[in-house]
Amino acid sequence: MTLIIAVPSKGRLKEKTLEVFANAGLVIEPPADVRSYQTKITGRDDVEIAFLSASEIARELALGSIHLGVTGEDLARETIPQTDDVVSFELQLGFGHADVVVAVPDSWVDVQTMADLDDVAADYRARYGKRLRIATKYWQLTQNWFGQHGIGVYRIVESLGATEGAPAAGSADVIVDITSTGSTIRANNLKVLDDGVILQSQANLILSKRANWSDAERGVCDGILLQLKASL
Amino acid sequence: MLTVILDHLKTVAPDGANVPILQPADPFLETVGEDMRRRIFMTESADGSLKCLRPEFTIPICLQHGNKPARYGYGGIVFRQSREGAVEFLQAGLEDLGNTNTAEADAKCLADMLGALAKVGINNPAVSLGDQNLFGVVVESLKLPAEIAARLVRNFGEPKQIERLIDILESKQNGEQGNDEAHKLAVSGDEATLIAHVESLMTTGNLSPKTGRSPEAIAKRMIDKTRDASFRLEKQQAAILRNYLALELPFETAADELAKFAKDSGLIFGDRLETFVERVAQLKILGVALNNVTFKASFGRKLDYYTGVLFEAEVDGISVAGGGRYDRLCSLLGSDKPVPAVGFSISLDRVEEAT
Repeated sequence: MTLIIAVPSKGRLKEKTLEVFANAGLVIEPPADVRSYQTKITGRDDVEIAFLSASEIARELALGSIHLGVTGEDLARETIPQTDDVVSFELQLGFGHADVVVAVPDSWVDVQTMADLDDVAADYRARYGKRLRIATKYWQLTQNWFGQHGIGVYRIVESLGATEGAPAAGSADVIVDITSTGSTIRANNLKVLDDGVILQSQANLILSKRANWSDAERGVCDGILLQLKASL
Repeated sequence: MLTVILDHLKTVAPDGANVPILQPADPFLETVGEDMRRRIFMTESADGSLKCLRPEFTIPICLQHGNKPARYGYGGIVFRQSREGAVEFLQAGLEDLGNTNTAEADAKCLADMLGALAKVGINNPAVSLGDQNLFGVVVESLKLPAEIAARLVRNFGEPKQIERLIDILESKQNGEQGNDEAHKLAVSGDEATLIAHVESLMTTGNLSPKTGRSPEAIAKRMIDKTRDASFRLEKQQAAILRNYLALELPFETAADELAKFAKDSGLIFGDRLETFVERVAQLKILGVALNNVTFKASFGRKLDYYTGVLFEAEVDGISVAGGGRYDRLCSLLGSDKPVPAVGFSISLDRVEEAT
């Protein structure tokens, strides 16, 4: 039995994760072979570390092929249907902050809140014969959020690249996107709605309820969580 | 069971419909919306167009409908994602398109639904009946600002949302008024300058005034919104809305009770109750037992193409069939003139569960 923990394989998320673990006395060793994505924590035979991309980590948590994983709450909520039934967010790690927000063009001077957007969406269809278009990579989060606000008359336009450019490109009216400082949104002459913050996301240590959990793995997991909590 | 129903439907709805299992996805997404996207099985064909497994029959039948009034019977498997895991559901039903005699078409549709249910062993189920139109009439007779009336009508069919909305409208002072240029212009009512202001913001943002919301539409709504900002639903108006939504009446006498409600509330329904009265009369002519039909004022669907009567049949709390009037659907699907439409569908899986 081994507890499998997946951590981000590159960039700032990786560095910060290694740092947080190291501060808790859990030193993640570099893989023995540079081409390998598996490694361990120094002195621990009961834990296996897998380096994966942040979005893969969300998927593997959903599948239950890893016990714990470090990834953004936004990715987890977006990737895993019925998120809270499948995983639990054990620990906020204090980095990777980003908000998922609803933003509209500055020229929409009459729109400040989701309620305004509801009026506009209904009128849009009556007036222009088609649905208000929302550009986003976050389908699930958008659908849930707009559903909660009783807004149904819209259409999601898939955005793979620069979502904030969609209104100027004429491919969408509104965007749902991630922002950490808001500067990209402002630079594109967009504004975040007053109540348009869907999620304040940060890197989380997430537990998969679908993984195989023996008592031993549970014990190791509890110990690691305690260590991390104590050092944060 | 499907054969029994299809044989029966042929006798009342002779026009056949051919609905392939693989459908273009756009009509479903454009009409039912993003809510549908999470429930349909979508795929892409080689030319890049979006297809889906048919999630229902109504939209494809409306798309096939020609100019002549027709009654279409249908039945087969529909495909939907459900939380419980089932993906295939057996459905049968009827669409009555083009009949301009609303009350008669409504009555025949409900009668045929009950007739078809009887063929599969469900007799005299509990039927809830609502009317999207009547709520609109109640709101209209309160003479509220247009945007607020529209917001109320739009939320009909979602009891929680509409209750919340009434609470908000009754209590709120729409406080957070901006203090920017646009707000000042809106307060002064200077529409031309406000339009120019919006246009300049659009230019800065590289937005074309030709696609999406127009500067005129934005300016007009800004002025309306500023004017309505101090609007507050009077206690008495809120009470009328709440009392109306709480009405549950035996269908046979509902028209009388509604007239009485209007009188007591000081509302003028005028001839707007006529369809309702006529519908009851037609159902009686058709010999439909109405003793188990209840008018529920709050019963509706929050889909903007439903326009009139809505009904649902239940057995021991299991909804086995439902239907209603959707006069706006064909227009939304691109028909250049409105097509009166009413229909029902029976969930055969639920029928099996219930019998």
